[in-house]
Amino acid sequence: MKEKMKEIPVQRVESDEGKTLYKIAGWTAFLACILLLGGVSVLQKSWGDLAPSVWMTGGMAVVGILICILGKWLQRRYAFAWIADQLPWLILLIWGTPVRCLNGAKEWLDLMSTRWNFAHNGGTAVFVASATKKEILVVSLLAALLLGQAVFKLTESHSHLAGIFFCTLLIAVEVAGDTFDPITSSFLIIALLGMNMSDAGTMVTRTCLRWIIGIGALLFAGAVFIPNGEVESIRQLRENTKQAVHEIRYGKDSLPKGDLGKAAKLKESEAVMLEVQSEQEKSMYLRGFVGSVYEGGVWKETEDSAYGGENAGMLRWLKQKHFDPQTQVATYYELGEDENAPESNRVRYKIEDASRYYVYLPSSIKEVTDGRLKEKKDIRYVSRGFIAGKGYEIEEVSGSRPSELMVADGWVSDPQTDAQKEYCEAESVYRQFVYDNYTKAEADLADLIDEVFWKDYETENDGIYSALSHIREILKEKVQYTDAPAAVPEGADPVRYFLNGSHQGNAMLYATTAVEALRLHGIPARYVEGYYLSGNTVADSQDAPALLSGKDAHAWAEVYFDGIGWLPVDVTPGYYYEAVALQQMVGTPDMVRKTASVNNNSFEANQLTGENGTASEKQENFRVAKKTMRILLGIVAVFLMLLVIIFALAEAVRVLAAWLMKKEYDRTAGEEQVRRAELIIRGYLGLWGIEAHLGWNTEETDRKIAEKTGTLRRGEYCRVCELLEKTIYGEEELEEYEKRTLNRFIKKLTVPGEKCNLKTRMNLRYACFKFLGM
Amino acid sequence: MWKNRLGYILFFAAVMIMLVISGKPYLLGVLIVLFLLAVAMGVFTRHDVTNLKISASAPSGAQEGKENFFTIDVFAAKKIRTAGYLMITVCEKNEMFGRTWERKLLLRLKGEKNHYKIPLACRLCGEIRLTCKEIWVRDLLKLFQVRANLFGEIRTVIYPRKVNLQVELSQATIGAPKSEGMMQNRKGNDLSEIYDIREYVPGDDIRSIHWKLSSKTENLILREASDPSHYNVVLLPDFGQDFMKEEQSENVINAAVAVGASIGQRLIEKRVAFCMALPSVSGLQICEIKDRRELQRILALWLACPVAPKSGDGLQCFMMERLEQYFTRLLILTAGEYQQNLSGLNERIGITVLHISAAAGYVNAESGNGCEIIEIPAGIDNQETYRIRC
Repeated sequence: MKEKMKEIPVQRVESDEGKTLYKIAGWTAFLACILLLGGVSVLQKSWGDLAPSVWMTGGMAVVGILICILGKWLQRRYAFAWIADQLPWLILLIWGTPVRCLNGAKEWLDLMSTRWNFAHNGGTAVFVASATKKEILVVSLLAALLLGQAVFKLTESHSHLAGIFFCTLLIAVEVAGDTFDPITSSFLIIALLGMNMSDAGTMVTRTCLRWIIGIGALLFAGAVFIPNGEVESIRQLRENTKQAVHEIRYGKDSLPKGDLGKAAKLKESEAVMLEVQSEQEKSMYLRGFVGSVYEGGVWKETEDSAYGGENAGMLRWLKQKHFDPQTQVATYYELGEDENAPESNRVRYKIEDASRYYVYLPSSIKEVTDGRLKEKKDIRYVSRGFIAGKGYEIEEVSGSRPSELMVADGWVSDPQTDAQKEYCEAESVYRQFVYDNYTKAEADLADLIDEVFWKDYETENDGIYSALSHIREILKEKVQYTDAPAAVPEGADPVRYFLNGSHQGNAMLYATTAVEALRLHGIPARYVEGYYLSGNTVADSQDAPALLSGKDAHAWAEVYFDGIGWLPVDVTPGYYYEAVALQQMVGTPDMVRKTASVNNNSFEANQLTGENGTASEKQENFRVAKKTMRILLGIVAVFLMLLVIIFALAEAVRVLAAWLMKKEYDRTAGEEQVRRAELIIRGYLGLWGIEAHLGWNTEETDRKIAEKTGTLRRGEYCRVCELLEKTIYGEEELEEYEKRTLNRFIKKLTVPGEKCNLKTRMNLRYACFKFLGM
Repeated sequence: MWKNRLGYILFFAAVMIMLVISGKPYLLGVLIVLFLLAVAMGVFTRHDVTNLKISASAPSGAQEGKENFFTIDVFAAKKIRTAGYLMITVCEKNEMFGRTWERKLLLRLKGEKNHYKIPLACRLCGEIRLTCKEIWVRDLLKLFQVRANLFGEIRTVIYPRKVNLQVELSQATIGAPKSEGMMQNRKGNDLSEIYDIREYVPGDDIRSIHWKLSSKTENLILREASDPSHYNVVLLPDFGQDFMKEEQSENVINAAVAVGASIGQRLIEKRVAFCMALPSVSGLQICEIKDRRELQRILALWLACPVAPKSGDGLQCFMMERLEQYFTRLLILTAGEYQQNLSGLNERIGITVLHISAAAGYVNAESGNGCEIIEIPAGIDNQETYRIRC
């Protein structure tokens, strides 16, 4: 009678040497010391200048360990000794109070987020906390206590996964808080390796020690000699990955995004970028990229750090005051009592080839009526969702006159209603922010700009209009417009080259120069790229959406009009009215013609998406169908590629596995080889769906094999069983020809017969994976 | 092992993520070190396996209930670089009881020479056969494992514990008289037949020298005379595997074996040669036991024989082969319930049934019709001396 154990526990056996307790304790203590050293160092560095004394933190960590040791010793005698572990926590919490602890924790999180912001130009503000020294001390001590107890538990149990989690967490805290220290990390990694190479309650072997010392020396040498900074290839990889993800989410960039080195690409594409349907025939500047900081020939968006620090929470506060910088112009019109205020205009968009990263809205937006959009600070809107949406609808409020003619109404300086007062209060705060962040010109260009534009400028009757007119005149004299400006010589600044060198440029250079000039003059301005929708284009489209191609890409400046908001101004020739025309406009009321789409009752927002069938919708349907087919084909292609790659990998691994299996088989001899052959035969028969056991129902199994495989004849299995039994039970060695019979049988078993289905074929093909572990 | 691999991969991935986020060159160095370390572990472990020699040995015998070990020696011809552990799967089989169990042993390598003592289960007597099924060598970080050569099969015998018995031989005989019984010339059936020849050793009787053969060779050859032995008593263990389905049955059979061995011991001490009828595939194997040495040998043989399939089979074989004509006294060793018809042997041979029972609390003896039944409790008390008359 045989009895097999279902679960076979692993019994650990030590070598026949006497256990030296003091050596084991010494090794455990060494590991604990290194872990403690690393952990305390991370804690202290995370606090920075506010860190309490290292002796106090370290001391509390040691207390944590001692308490755990005491608790363990007491638990052997008393059932309730587990309370000993919790006692220091209770004492600290009572002394520090939970509220102080919370404040201290908030302070720590704030410190971490501030450092992260500095390191990554972020603007995240988690809390706005200000903790006292005592609160910081309490939290520090609690953290140190937790660290000590964690170190004890880790070194006692030698739990590998927990150790990895612990060390990774500490290193991650260093990286996140920008306090990364290679030496601290070296300590943690060495401790981790030490725990992995030894077992709980056992002494480390000499071989382990050699490896730990070697790797430790390597890590410390690296910590000392490897320079700090950033690996360029990693940074490049990060950028490339971001770019790739960006393209998947939003499509390819269609605008140069403030890079004056790529100015020639502004109007390169002729593809349809946007379809815009407006209820009013008027020009609109559809804002895309907004640049706030000019550096080295490139415009960058406002950094998140500008919204942190003193300005942390400003945007939230403005929202509470019903003030939104993005819809400020529409709010201004709403709060005013001017009878001639422009009417609301509904505009529908559909993004074709333009990048979906930007939502091309005018500065006069009032609200988003359709589309999943959200605001990004005070700069622009962004689309929600991983893959950005392609269509949306808004309402905007603007006149047909150029922005430079705008003058704030009297109520801005003297608000009458509560809403106006609230608006003015909020606007004053935002204005301060704007003046702080949007009036700094680039230092390298300041002299040139001043020389070119403001040296002989008379400041009498100075205002945005006069400054702008002056800039236009200067530019008219000095430079010429061209769609594709010449490449900037390496090392030269594009604006400098534009003004002093080539004297030719496109809208990007004009807009950049204007922004720098206005800023130097103390007028807040920012650089914008996007698309220009002219009133003529809208009028020509009649009831169809206006198509904007790459040729309609444009760059302009936005100026902050006090009390009104950000409005677009243009200095590019062909895009602004001459002074005479402007003066004529001042005297006439602002008339905006409506397009036919207003009277078209069948006009629906979903017409843009082609859900209803009209003549123009057929084209739309065809375009949609084409796009869908492309996407489906793309998915199929990707799927096929993946299949090919997986198949190639599987085949490569199969060949390797088969070679390894053969090598293992040939390495064995005698009974072991025969036993292995028996296992392989049984395994293969299992894949054929035949249950086989040596010496049991041999005839029946032989019949099934002959039936199912088709490659093996009746009697072959019986013969093979005889050979197997001869060795396994009879303990006789097989002759060479008998071994060949076995091998031939195994080989035939691997050949799929005609009656085989696909599943069995695949199983037989990749069976070597299964047998490799035998 | 999967935990170690998972942990290593997770740590590697975490360092990679932190490297991508922060771009610190030191983390790149750590990543490279981790990768190379894993590769080194894999490569050097394979190399270490080729240098390892693993052997195992066990004492030839041990006593039931006492501590017993088998040893594994691991020797490395060259310095071990990364091999840290051995995972050995060993199959232990008790030949007598047919019990098999697998054990997994994780041995930690401490140097080039390692010696391990692994305890053996000595709860049941019988021959223990240890077969190594597989040996895996793992590296220090337990990331990789490489198969190593197996060590050969080792055997050890767990002898039953001693039972305090007092055996009394009855003068009365049933069936054949005392002078009858099995006469076995151990060295042949003919009394004058020479059983063996061997070289002359100083001290041998010169009258035993085979002069004819010696003249043909350069050495003096001795002839060994036959050695007739007289056997009246036969010990028949008659318990079966069908009994082993019950609870506590192994302990009962264990006790029966202990009693049988002790009876044999006592008979030899009294210089009473006896036979033991061991169950085998082809029936009963009659083994003669004349002295202590032969008792040890036959006991080892008995302990290596699996228990018969059914209790009572031994008696059936005995009756079928009409072995009662050769002996005057039959000692039947049974365990558990024993319902055999002994009437066929009445008046032909004296029968003593030694019935080991878990239910019995004390020794109980019944006799009648030439048959004596002695019930002995399975929980043998070493303080007591059991008296058996046969």
